[in-house]
Amino acid sequence: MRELYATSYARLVAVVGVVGQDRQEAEEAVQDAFVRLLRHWPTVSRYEDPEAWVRTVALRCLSNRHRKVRNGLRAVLRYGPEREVDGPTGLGVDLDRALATLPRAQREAVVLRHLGLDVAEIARQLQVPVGTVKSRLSRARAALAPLLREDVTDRA
Amino acid sequence: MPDLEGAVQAQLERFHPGTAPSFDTVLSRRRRRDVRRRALGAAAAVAIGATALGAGPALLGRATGESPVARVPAVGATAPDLLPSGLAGSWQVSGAGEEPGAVLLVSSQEVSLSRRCGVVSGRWGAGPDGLFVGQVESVPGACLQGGGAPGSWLGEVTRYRADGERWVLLDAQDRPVVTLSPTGPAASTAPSRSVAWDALDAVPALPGPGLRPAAPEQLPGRWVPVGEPRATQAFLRFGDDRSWTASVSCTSTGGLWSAGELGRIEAVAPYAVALAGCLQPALPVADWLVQADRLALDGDVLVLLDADGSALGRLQRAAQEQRAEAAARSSAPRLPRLGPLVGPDKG
Repeated sequence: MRELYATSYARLVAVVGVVGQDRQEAEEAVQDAFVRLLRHWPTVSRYEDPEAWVRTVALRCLSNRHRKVRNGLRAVLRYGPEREVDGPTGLGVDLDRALATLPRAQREAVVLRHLGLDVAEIARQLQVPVGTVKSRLSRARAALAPLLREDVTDRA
Repeated sequence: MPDLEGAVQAQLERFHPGTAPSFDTVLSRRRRRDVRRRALGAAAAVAIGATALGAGPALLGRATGESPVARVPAVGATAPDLLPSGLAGSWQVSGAGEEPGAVLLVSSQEVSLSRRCGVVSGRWGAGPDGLFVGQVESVPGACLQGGGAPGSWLGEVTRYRADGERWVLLDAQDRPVVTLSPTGPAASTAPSRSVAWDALDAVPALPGPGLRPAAPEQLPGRWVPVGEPRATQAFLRFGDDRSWTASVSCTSTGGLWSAGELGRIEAVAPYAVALAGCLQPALPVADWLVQADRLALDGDVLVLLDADGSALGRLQRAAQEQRAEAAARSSAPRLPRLGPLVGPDKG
């Protein structure tokens, strides 16, 4: 299990960080997931991809955290316009911001798709219907498409 | 040209952490956080008047004509978050004059001893190196009839060790106090125990060449924050009987502590560690102790360290004890310089 932790921790934090747009929250969620893994390691170690189990649990932890603060001041600060996160510059700025402002569930689907998971696998890991995943991906693309076009227009 | 894949990849790189904390550090942090949350949550419960924590389950058991013991879930029914996870679950208790059929339910939140008279509630903390501290917090009135202090053995336990599928809780002299046997199939217990044990085997070095582990016998006495001895009146007192008390600016609190090798410390905080308005004292010495993973001495200064090795607080002997110490040194010049309570005689 230590090996899994050593090899996958940073990768998982990055994924959860993108989904939640907060690295500190991501680290907390991933650490929570690994602590839970202790109890389930005899079973999870036999899985083909134990990292996927940790990722699913971490995303669920993140979701629970967000639910708790959704109406609180922390949520306002986190999603407010003055986030102090170093962002990219240049043509990708708008798209980066658009990703950050997507609903978390849509961003979650986009990131998992980026990792190479197909729709069925995303649905299985998130424990939602396949149609829900397709809907989230579709809405995300629809939300981002105009910005992509704007970027291209600006560049042109 | 920017694309979605590129944007996601750029964010993945941006949120990629530079370094990962050690797994041991992560586990220790979680354990400390659980202890802290338990204390604060319990304080809130006290604030709303939930003072009879042990009586509820007992009354419920009587009202339904059902033995409280029978209401305890079997092994694996709880989801332990507090490590070492193998201790969590339900256990039949033998020893310490405990009544036959008594069951100890250990969860991440608290410990409950189910007896025929009702459920005795308390708190516990344990370290991966076998350190243990527990304390009874609430006793139903029915359990007090006829005298006695049900569950008081919990306060005697300072260590624990595995014995096959059982746990043996030991006192300060390493004598068995009670033995805990699984109340049901232990399938979920043994593996988690072994995994937790393997993962928590190492104790990191102290973060500084000038620090040396504080021995248990060096702790008793009254300590005050360095540089703030009079302004806040905050203090932390370790008793010879493993009790501790602390002033946290607007209230005082106390509990039990157990200390082990290499400066390891476990302390339980009372439910009412602080009431509303006192949750963030200027010098939260009680929090320092509850969160501390190790205690070290930097000269005469007691340094409370968290699981990362970061200093939570620094304490020095109270002025009157410093004077007493100086007087003791002048009248008994051959005593070591460690303080009024010195380590074992090595002569």
